[in-house]
Amino acid sequence: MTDLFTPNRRRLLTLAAGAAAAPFAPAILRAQEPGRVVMSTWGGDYAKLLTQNIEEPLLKPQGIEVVQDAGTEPTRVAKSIAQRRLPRGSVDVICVQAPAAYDLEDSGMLEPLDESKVPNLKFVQPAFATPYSIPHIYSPQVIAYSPERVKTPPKSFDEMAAYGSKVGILDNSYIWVAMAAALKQQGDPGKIAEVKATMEKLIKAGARAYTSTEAFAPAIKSGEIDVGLVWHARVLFWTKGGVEMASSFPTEGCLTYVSSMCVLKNAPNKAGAFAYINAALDPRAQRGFADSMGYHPTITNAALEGDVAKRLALPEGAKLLPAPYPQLSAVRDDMNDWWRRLLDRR
Amino acid sequence: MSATSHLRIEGLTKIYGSTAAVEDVNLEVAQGEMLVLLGPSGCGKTTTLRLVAGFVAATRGRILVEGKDYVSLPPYQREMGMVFQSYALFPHLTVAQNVTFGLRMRKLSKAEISSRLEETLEMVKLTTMADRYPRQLSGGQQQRVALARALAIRPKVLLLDEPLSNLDANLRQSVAREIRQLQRAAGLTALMVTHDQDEAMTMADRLVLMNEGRVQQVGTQEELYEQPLNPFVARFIGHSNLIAGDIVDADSFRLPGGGVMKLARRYAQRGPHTLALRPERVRLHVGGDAAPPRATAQVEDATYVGGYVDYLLSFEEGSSLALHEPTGATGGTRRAMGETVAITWDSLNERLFDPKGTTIPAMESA
Amino acid sequence: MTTRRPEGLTASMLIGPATMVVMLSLVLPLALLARYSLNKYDRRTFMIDAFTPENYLRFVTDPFYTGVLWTTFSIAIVTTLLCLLLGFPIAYKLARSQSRWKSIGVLLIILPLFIGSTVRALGWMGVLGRGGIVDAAYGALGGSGISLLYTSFAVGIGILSINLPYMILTLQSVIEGIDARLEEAADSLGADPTRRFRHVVLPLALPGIGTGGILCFILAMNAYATPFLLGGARFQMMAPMLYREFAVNNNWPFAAAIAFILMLTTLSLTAVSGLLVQRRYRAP
Repeated sequence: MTDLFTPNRRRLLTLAAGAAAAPFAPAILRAQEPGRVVMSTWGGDYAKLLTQNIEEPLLKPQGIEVVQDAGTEPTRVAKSIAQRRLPRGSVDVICVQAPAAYDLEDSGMLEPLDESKVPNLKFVQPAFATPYSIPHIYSPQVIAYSPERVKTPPKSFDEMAAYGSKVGILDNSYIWVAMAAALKQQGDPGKIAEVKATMEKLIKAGARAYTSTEAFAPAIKSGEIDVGLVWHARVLFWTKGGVEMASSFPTEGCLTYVSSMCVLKNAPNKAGAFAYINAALDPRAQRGFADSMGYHPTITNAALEGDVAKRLALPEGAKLLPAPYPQLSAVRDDMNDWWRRLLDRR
Repeated sequence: MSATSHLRIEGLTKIYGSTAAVEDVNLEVAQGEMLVLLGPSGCGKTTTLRLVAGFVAATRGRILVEGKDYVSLPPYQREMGMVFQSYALFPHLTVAQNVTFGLRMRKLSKAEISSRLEETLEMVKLTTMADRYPRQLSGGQQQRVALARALAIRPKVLLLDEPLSNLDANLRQSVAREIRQLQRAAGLTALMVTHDQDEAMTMADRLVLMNEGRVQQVGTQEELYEQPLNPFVARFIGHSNLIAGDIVDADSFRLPGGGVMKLARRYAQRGPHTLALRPERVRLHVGGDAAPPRATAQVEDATYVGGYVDYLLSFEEGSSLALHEPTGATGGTRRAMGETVAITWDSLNERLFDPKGTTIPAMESA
Repeated sequence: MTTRRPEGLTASMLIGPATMVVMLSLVLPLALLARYSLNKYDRRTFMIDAFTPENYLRFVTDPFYTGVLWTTFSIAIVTTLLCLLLGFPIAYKLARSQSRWKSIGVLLIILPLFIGSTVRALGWMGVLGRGGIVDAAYGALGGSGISLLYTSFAVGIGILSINLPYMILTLQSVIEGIDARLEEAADSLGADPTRRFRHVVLPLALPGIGTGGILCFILAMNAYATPFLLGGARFQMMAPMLYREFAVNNNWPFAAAIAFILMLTTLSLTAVSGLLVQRRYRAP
């Protein structure tokens, strides 16, 4: 779905208003009914788990009914941008990755949050807290490796990069690899542009780049690659699926994937939206996600137990850091362009 | 005949799976002769023609032209000119390009090609149409282009597949005459297929009547009409009443119901036979007849159709007979329905077939 | 047939609304897209109203982008020609076949169309990738470690396998429309199979070759899933690049410009080849 229309108010009113607003009309109507929250989310497992762990057990008893508006992140972000000038949008809560949440905030589209609106905010692990979003779940970026072929697990980015052509990179999160390099070599993950040479060296050495995340596990399995930076949750997922894979936490620290939830400024049901994200921070909901998806809870009061705790346990002294969102946002366009050319030129 | 035969087909057979489309066909065509294959649909006539053209591979047999066996050669090496029912003109080529197609395939010289083109177009009177495309021509003109295209290569044998069937009825006769003229003028040996009896009668030097993959009779128009070799030929060429019964006496033919006809000739054979009588060769018995009538029947139906009155007569047990009485003598008066009439016929017009379908001879002392 | 009578008027009135709907749903988004392509990109607001050719200039002046266009074009041309070469004999056999296996053959060709191109690309990944069928076979023969995945070869094979059915079906229906008697006529006039093909079948099949070629060319130019999955990160084609600009980089103006460049290139090449075919086939 590509609802292309301009954020310009004048044009919205003249050209695109009728036609473009039409697809959202049902959602707007639904949202206007009391007790209904429109949740813009990824489809698939994540959406299913939202229903199972948050919407059914926690929101339904409060009389809140949730309508999910599922789609890929770019599509949903585009839709929200398109509606940003409308006094009432069609979406209440939007689920995006933390960098996108930063961008939405930067564009002035997000409702500020505080404990008066979302009481559970006080339990949020301080490292991942922001004034404009809640961290819903997180997973550190680890060095995944084949325990069969890698006898001494790499302990840092540099040790991993030494594997050269046996390194796998997920094309859509190459910039996280760059941030990991910056963290190790520059001591600051925000100095992304400064590690271009490192990345270039890695690519020149024959590191593989995969356009789909799913290609990573078969590549480890077949011996095409031995190591690579991926989310810890992914390693757990693949291991559960029978792939021989282990995680090593770089000593310089792990950049951490965070999935955020934000409330849009033009949300038609803000009270419902706050209730939703408050419920998302409920320990019961958090444990549910950890159990099913292998992502870590973002709150301090949801200690894990038993098998889940063992699987998700972080090694002693593991340092988790959020990505440097402002720096990331600033260099991303240039980096993307540079990365394309780097890959192509080989 | 075999000494002068130009095209000779020996034991030609085509078997599809377990059924024989064409079985053991033997034919001889003299130089310049037009032989017409005739028969109902599915009789194998078209397959025979396509076997000769080479579009269908023969299971057995030989196809000899001037003594050379062509049966295993591909069609493009057979030098047979084919005129298709649908004409099969190349839609993307002009009349001239269509006509010279075969010449170009033979890599003749430019001069030779253009002189033959001119000559051939003149023959079919299409000189002014040379630059037209087939779709810009009438059906008759297309037919002539198809003919010209086949003639231009100066084929050893001309093959014609139902050449008139796509034409308007009023055009057929003139085109038929035209084809005959061109074929005669070129002295071409020709093999033509048709399902239309009149067409076959008009165009053929000799006819081949086929049924169920086999040749039933080969001969001139007269031979097939006057001396059909079996009931199928008798019924297919013209029309014949085929009456089943028993020869009970040298000249008595008993119908299944018990009625007896007096035969015009005497036969040695006895037992079940089929009597073939052509409607126009049977007449109503009149007072002036010297001989007694051969049978009596009742008028079931009488239709005045101009040249004759078409009677449907019935004998007692439902076996019936068509009879055509010329209106010249009677002025067209019809007998009343249900009236009992006497009928008779001449000895020449009476044929009897035994149960195997072969004609039986009469005794000499008739 | 000249039916310029009241019925003609009625008919045009009847198809009027449908035409309007099609035109609106086709032209309106295109017009919007054209407008966007002249805007400026901004990281925060994503798009600033402007009237600038800079998105187009950025594309045509940068060898990186023109290189991607050229790669796309080369892949499209090569796969289309291969489709033609491989598809024609199959289409011809199918069209001329009278056996009862014919419908099964047609079904076998249609069948892959029921499966999306993504799924088929994933299948090819299993065939061409490390540990895949080709690799295993090569290993069994004594070789070691061959991965054809993420190469232009893989993309070519993938697009070929997706486009071939379209080519075959298009050609088959056109060849079926060529009277088999025409070939027999050529035969009887002394044309051997090669010349019969050149002088009769080929010129008459030309419209089908044109249609099939254009179809395959357009499909290849716009291929997305196949180059994305089989070409990998290092192999650039237009559609994945366009999608990345739009959805990952959120640069709508530039994505719109790329879309227009891709569309105009495809359209003009299609128009040119269409004209050539028509001139060749149409009698003056």
